[in-house]
Order: sequence, then structure tokens, then C-alpha cells
Amino acid sequence: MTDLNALLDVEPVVATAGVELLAEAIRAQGARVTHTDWRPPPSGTEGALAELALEGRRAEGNAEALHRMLVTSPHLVDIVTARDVIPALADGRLLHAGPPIGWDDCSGPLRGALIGAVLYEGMADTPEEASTLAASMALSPCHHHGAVGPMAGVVSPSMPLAVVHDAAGDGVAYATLNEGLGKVLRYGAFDAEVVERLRWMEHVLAPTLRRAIRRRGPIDLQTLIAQALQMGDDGHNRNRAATSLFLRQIGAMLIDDDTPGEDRSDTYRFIDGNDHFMLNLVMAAAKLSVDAASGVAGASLVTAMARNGTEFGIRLSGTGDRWFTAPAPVVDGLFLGSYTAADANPDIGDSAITETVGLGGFAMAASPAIVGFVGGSAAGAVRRTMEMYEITLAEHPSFRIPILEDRGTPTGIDATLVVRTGVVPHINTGIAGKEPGTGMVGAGLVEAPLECFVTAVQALAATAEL
Amino acid sequence: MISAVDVLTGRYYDSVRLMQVTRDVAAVGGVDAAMVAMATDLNVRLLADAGFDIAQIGDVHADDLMIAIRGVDEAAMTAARAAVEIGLASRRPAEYESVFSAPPAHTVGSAAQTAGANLALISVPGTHAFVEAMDALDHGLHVMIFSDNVPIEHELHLKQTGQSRGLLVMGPDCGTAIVGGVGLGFANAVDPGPVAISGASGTGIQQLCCLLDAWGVGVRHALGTGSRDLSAAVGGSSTLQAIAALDADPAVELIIVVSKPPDPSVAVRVEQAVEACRKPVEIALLGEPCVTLEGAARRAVAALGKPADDLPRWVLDQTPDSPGGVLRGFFSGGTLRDEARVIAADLVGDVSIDPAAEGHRLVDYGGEQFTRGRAHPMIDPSIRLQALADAASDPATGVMLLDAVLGYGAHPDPGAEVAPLIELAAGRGIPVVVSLCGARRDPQGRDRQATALRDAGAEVYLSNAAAAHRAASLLPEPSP
Amino acid sequence: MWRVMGTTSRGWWCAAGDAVVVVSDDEIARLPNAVVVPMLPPSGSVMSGAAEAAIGDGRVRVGSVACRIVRWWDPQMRPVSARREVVLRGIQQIPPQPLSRPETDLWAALAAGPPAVVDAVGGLLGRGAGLTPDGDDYVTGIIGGYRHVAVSVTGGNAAAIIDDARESILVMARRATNRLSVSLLRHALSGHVAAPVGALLRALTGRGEVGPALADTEAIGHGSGAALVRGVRAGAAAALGVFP
Repeated sequence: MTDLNALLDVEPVVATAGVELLAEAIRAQGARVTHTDWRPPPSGTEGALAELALEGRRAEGNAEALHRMLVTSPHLVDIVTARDVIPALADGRLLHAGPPIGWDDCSGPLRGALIGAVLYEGMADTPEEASTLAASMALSPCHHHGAVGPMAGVVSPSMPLAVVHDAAGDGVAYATLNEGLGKVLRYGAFDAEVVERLRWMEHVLAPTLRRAIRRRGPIDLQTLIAQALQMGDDGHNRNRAATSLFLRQIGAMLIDDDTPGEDRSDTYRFIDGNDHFMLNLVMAAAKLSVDAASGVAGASLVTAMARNGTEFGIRLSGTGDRWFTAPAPVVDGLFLGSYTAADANPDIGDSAITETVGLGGFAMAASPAIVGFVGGSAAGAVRRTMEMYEITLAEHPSFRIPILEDRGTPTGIDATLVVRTGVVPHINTGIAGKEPGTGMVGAGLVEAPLECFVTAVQALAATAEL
Repeated sequence: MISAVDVLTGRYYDSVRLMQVTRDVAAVGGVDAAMVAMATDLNVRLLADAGFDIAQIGDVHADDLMIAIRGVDEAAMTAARAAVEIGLASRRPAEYESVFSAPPAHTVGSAAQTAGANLALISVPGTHAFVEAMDALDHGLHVMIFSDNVPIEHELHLKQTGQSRGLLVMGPDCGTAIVGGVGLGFANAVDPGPVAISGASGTGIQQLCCLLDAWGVGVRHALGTGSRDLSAAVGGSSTLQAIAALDADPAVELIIVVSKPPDPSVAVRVEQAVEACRKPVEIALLGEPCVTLEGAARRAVAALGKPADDLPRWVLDQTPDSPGGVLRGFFSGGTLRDEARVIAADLVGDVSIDPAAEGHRLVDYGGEQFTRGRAHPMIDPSIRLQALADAASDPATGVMLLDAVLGYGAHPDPGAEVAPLIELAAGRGIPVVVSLCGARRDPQGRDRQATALRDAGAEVYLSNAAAAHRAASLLPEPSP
Repeated sequence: MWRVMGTTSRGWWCAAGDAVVVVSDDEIARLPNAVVVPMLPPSGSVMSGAAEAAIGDGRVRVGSVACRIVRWWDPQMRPVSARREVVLRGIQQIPPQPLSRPETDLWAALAAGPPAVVDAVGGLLGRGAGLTPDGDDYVTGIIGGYRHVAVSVTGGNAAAIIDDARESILVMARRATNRLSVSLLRHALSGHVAAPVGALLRALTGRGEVGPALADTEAIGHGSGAALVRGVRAGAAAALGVFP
């Protein structure tokens, strides 16, 4: 008994790609046929795609990478100080979001955040001094140090970091704590209010939270995120449910403590007042998962999507730490107050790490409350999620979408599928003002640039063993 | 400039909705600035930054809705307030879209998962066909590759991969298949029946199907294997797979194996496989004048114990005598051309397949050199029509021979396309013979097409071999 | 002379004596007596119960409405050579559903001989709801299941009990139920089954997977699928001499 016998026993169900007339001819016979919306891939990629189709290690490599990614079990275990866990910060370096970049190429919000970090660290007294100093400092992507940061993603030595540990392995990932909305460092704001808040986070929020978490024990982030999707979060732009769930997890520990009551109530109030508090923790959980999938030979699985405000970069499992970049696109979205598209900086932040694990734009069907970011409808959100299944390798075993009969979110982007179909990842994101110090000007949806997938696929093909 | 900030209590909207409303209101003509937002501290500050007077709104709470509008005149303000009302109103059910309408699948792999497909038909340009076909195999689909211009090393890899997974790879350059009675590519509408065909030849399969159909014998499967399957390089991989599977299908009573001229060593292997079959097998490996599709079909029908009468032909009261000159043939089917060439060459000597040849020539307009970047002549007849027109006015033309292929996938009315050119040739005294490859139930109507072709002035034969023989016979005897 | 006997949104059916042809669009299950037309004419254009129909030459004509038949198929089950253990494993993959008393009786009768079979069938024909009553569907399923499994496992004329009861069952069926049901029963007695049932029977005898075929069979008609599955399971069990 082979599959071939089975084919000959039953009326076939046909999928067609190419000449639509041939699908019509099958339909005209009363037979079952699905015509695919095949489009030619960008010219110049035929050879690379063929080599990757021949690459014997690709299918197995993707299966292996995907498996490694999905078996991780990210748990929030601690709050630490950045300089204690990231040695690179000790030699006067600052971390930032996205692929590598130098000061000269930095956009307004990234410069603003770097200036703010220098002021916060007390290395300069005025923004002008801070700017001069920041321009001379070495910069390094968060991604190179097991960390992620939203928007500008700047990490300086004194900042508290959340520690996410893999309960099913030994991986670890870090993220900063979320400052809230409005004028905040991650959007490039650096005035006194911003620096003041960062100091409060260092001196009050971090130790209070650290005590609560240590007393509570590790918090299972994957389960928490999965629950939040059932409650209308997408895990990127809407983290209201996840933040509420987080507060429930640590609430008792905050109450049951012997430190000054004001610190504990302030901490509670701060988290309660910031619907995005969980975003950074979701990002660290995602970073932990994709890092586990990195470095599998032949695998075309995407292990990072990140933007530094100037360039959009991706990494593939099979090409390890290499970045493939394209100019960061401008976000199509809705603007706060009287801001307009003219005020918007190109896309920025490590937060697209959520999309690489099947959240954010990939989980939009779970989050009808945010569909308006694309000026669309609930139906449009479902369609966007459905479209992402075209470029992913799996359905997430934990992240499920109630309205799609609990189908797992599309997870594990295959760069070859992106190039073949021209369907690019949809990313839900915030929009930073392009002038340093402006802060958030809106939120919306952005499409990852196809170019970086093309160059990534070509580079992977060059490693193919034929 | 008029500026107003209204505060409504007890009306909560989510921030996304309000951002949309803000955008709609700001787009109203004459509106300078607008903001519709819940009165959170942040939003109140943003309102101040936008130049609104927040002192006038007094004490507000985060649960209050603020509607701030600055417009050039009262008319603009009114229009803006109307836009706010529309924006905040509930969506009408009529605007609901079908939430679950899935976007189309972009790859056959995706269609396999969403539609349960078990067979892929790939007809993308040849340079892309390999990747799509591998995708089909990777998702457990059998695959038919209609595309030509696929590198031979890719064909080999596909067939090896398919073989190792128990999946059939039909093609590349597989024009025709019938699986479980469903015609794929160019296929004739034949009845379900006891015969199964394995064919490294699209029009070879079609011709067999049509002849069997004329004798009332149906076809259960016709597995195309691709024009190069019986080459030395490919080694008959798919043909051998197909023969074994057809032999194991309890509903198949007789198998016909057809191919363009095969590589001799591969032919031996195919013959060995046929020997091992439990069921009767007819082989038609073309290349000799005595091996014809008609002959194979006749033997098959006889083996099933059915009568094989004379095949239909539609002849003229009087066919013009050839004015002398050379044979000109215009085919859309490669195998029909090859068969005709062997038969004609037996009668008139050398017959070229080169479109530029001076002497007798039979050209396949479905060949790879004619299909790069354009549709097959069975779909788009324009190149062949031009060639027919040229030949009809060429004094060297002695007899014209062409095929007309009917069935699913083919041109809806090929007879009407060529009829004027047949009339043109007939009007100049050039005999025209048509090899009509059609089944009774074909959507174009076999008999209707035959009648139209005959009425235009052509002799029409259902058997390609008969048509070729007739056309060659119409030429004056070659001088010794 | 064919006459249109009934119409639904998914097809209409014509009868000439015992012969029935179901004319459907491509959505309906592949019944052994169905043909597919590209598009059903509007239901008002085909008058039920009265209109004369012409079927043949690849076409169906009713009054001024003519449709080209684009698809039909060979519904004949061909026995294969199957081992008893394979079929037993297959049966176990079909979840057991409780059988009614008359249903159990028919299973028991298949071990007892033709007269008992005819009696037991009589207790089922025309009973139950549906265009094809549930009882009829069960009988169709059990005959199909018994025939295919008995001949595939034992070979020869192992299904002779069905052949011997054939004429008596048909005489009874013509009195007890509608013509569409009689037609489907007649096909089952000759080894003709709906395509999903065929796939299920082949899977039971080792060609293909039970799961998908089971799901497709259950999906036939409004309630027919469940009764067919019960019948197929009971028929296969009866052919092996085991309790369903």
C-alpha cells in the first residue's frame, strides 16, 4: 500500500498554481480544485529558491529549529541590574534596538534615548554635553547580548532588567522594564521627568518587584500570554489583559511585604496605570524562544526581526548571527492628538520579536480591540492572521485564537515562503516622533520590507549543501 | 478660527476607535485640528500641546470623553461634529464583512493544508516550477508539472524525491492526465472505464482516449509522466511507478503504455516491468511506422473483447488534387507530429521538423521554443494561425496537414479559428487534412467541430495515423 | 421514460422504473446513482413529480432546461485480498454507536441465512427520518460492508447470502420505501456504493486511512451518514462473525 494507490482509489482534490484556465477546466468537470494565488518571486531569486528546495538540510533544519523554539518554557525569575549581567556595558557601551548602527546614522528617537541614558547615568549634566558624549560611545544591539528593548531599546548600566529563564533548558533573556506611555525614554524623550521616572524605577520599582517575584517564585510567561490572547491581547500592541494577569500573579506578594507601604502601593499603581507593562516581558519571553532556535544549518526559520529606526533587520536560524537589512519603513497608522505622518520616525524597536513567535500582527484575529490601528475591521484582522499562515511553518501549541476555533497562531516565519509568496510579516507597532524628545505620536501596522528576506534567502542558499 | 472642547461623561470608547474618529474628523474640510479622546492625563496634556485651551474644560476624569475641534468657521465645526457622531455610532450590520473568508492560498503546500488537496497541478513558468513542485512533494501531494523548460537535473531530483515518498511526479512537460476520471491539463471528456494509460506523451494519451471513446471504451486513469521520462537521464522513473500502481488498482482491467521514441535501454526496462504485470498491457513506444496509436488502441479494445469498427472520418465529396509541392504540417501536439512524421516519411522520404526547412516539414507549435513566455497553441493559436496563413499562400505548399485538439483546457472553438485558413487553402486548390483529436462529449463538441472543419474544405480524421497517411498520399508520387 | 421525482437545493432526482439518477452540483456526496452538472437550474424551473426528463448522450433535459453532465463515476467496489486482523483493526477505528433492536437483528440475521435477512430488513425499511429513511441507510451500509469485507477476507462467493436475499429485499423495498432509497439499495446489493463509503470500505480492508473516510461518510446527507456508518460497521463485523 503506497500513497499512489490511495491517489488512484479516490477522486482527486487538486491544488493548482499557474494558468488559471487549467483550474477552470477542472472546475468545469465538477471536480474539486483550489486555485492558488501564485505570484512570481522577485527576479533574481529563482536560483536561490531552487538551491534551497534542493538543500536536503532545510526541511529537517526547520523542523529542528521550530522544535527548539516551541519547547522553550520562558519564566520570569528575577529583576537585576544591567551592569551585573551584561559585561559589555562595563566598558562604556550602550545597547540599542535593532541591527547594528553608529551614531551618525541614528534617527531622532534613538539619539534622544541615548542622550537620555547618558543623563540618567549622570555622565553629563546637559542634553548638549550628553549628545556629544553619546556620539563618542560604542553602541551595540541588545540582540547581541541576549536582550531586547522596545522602540529605541536603549539599555545603560544602571537600568533594571527583567530576567526570563527557560524552565525547559538553560536559556536566558533580558528586557528593560516598561516606562509607560507619553514622554518616555524609549520614544526618545529625555527631559527631567523622563530621567526622574527612570531613577524611580531603579530605586523603587525594581527592588519592590524583585522582592515580590523572588517570594512568588518563577512566573510562567507562556501560560500568561496564552491566557491574555483569550482575553483580547495580541501580545504586542495590546497587553492590557496580560498586564492585569501579571498584577494578579504578584498582587499578594506586594501586599504581604514589610517594606515601606508607599513603595508597594506606588509599584502597584505604576503597573496598573501602564497597559504596556507586560510588553517588555513578552518580548523577553519571545527572545528566549527564538534564541533557542538559532544556528541550525540549512534552516530558513526567521529568528529575529528588529528595527533601529533607520534600518529593519532580520536573522535566520541557518545564518546564525548575521543581519540582513533594508531601510526601515514608515508605519501606516493612527496618530495621537494633532500629530501627523510628517512627525513619524521610520519603524523602530525590538518589539517585532513578538511577531517572530506568532504574536502581535500574527495574532490580530485574537485582538479585535486593536484592529482600528490598521483602519480596518474585525474581518480584516482575521484575514491578516489567516494570511500569516501562508508564510509560517507551524501553529503555536499554546497561543490560540478563540474566534478561529482555538487554532494556534501562525508561528515560525519561513523566509523562503516570504520570498516565494511576496507575503511579508505584518507587525503591530507604536510610532515614535522623529524629533528627539517628542515621544509617542501614534500606533499602527507596518509590513516588513521584502528586500531583507531576499538577501537573507540568497545568503542562506550560499550555505546550501547540494 | 473657532475652537471648542466638549466633554461628555459616561461615554467610554476604546482608544483605537477614538484615534480613527480623530482621523476622520481631522479630514473634514475646514478643520484645522481635532482630537477625540478619553480625558486621561496624557490626553489632556496632548490637547494642550495641540493648542487647545484646557482651562475651559474644567475638572475632567479619565472616564470622560473629550471632543476638541478647531475649525475655520461655524460650518466646518458643524461638519466636524457630524463626523464625530458618525464615527462614534455603532457599525451597521451591513458593513460587517464575512469574518471567516480566508485569503486565497498562495502555495500548493498551503492549499494542501486548508483544502485537503492531494494532487498539485503546476503550470507556472518553467524557471519557478521546480520550487513549487518540491513544495507539493514536501506536503505529501502527488504532482503534475504542466510547465516545460524545467532543467533535467531538477526533474531527476523531483522524481527521486517522489519515488522515495510513494508520490507520483507527472512531468515536467506533462500536458495531459486523467486521475479518477478528472482530466488535468489538456484532457478529453471520456467515460469512466476499464482502461488505464501511462504516457510520456500528452497528445499520445489524448489520441488513445479519443479512439477508445469512439469505440465506446472508457478510461479510468491516464497518468502522464512527462516528455523526457523515458530518456536515458530520467530512466523511466515515473513510468515504472505508474505501471506498478495501475497494475495494483483493482478497477483497472487493461493498461496501455505510450511514449515518444524512448531510449533503448529504458525501453527494455519498461518492457520488463510490463512482463511482470498481472494485467494485460499494450505498449506503444513510437518511432517505427508500424507502431501507431491507432494500432495500440485497436489491440486494447480487442483484448477487452469489444469490436473495433472503422473510425469516424469526415470526408469531402471531392478532395482537390494536390498542385504538387511539399507537405506542410502544423501541429499543437508533439506526439501527433512525431507519429505523422514517421508515417509520412515512409511514403514521401525526408520530412523535417524545422520550421524553416524548404522541403516536407511538420512543425510542433507546442514545442519548447514556441512556448517560452507564451501560452500553448492549444490555448493561444495565434502563432500557428500565422504559419497556416503563410503556407496557404506559399506556392511551394502541396498538402497541408494539421491537428485540432479538443477537450478541457483547450481552445473553446478551434474549428472556427482555422476554418478561414482552410477555406483560403482549399480555394487555392491545396488539399487540407485535419487530424481531429476529440471525444464525443468534449465541451467543443467533436462532431460539430468535425463538420465545421469539413465544411471549410478539409478532410477530417479521428485517427492521427490515418490523417498523416492520407495527407502524404495526396502528394504526387516523388520522382525517383 | 424518466420523470423528475423530487428536487432539493442540492439536486433533483429522476426515476424510470427502479432506475434513479440523481442530478447534482458538485457539493453533494458522490452517490452511486448520481451525475454532476456544472450548475443546477433554478429550482422553480424543474417541476417535481410531473416533468418528463431525457437522460443520455451526456445530457439531462427537462422541458426547456438542458444540462451537460460533466462528471459521473464507476461506483463498483472491487474486492481486495485482506487479512482478518487488518479488518478487525479497522473496525476498532470506527467508534461504536448503540444499535437499535431491529439493527441488531439484521446483524444477527446475516449469520442465520437468507430468510432471516429478509425478515430483518423488513423491520428496517422505510423506518426513520430523512429523504432516505435511517433504516434504509442502515440496510444500505450493512449490505455494502458485509459484501466487501466477506469477499475480501474469505473470497469466492462469501456474500452469497446477500445475492440470495436480493430479489426478496427489492420486492419488499418497493412497497416499504421511496424510489430513491430503493435505487440506492439496489446499487448496494450489486456492490455499488457512494464514494465516501467506498473509501471507508477500502480503508477497512487495508487500502487507505479510516479516519478521513469515516469523516466523509458521516457527512453524507443530513442524517444518512451516521446510519450508513453504523451499517458499515455492523456489516463488516457480521462478515467476520464478531459482535459489532
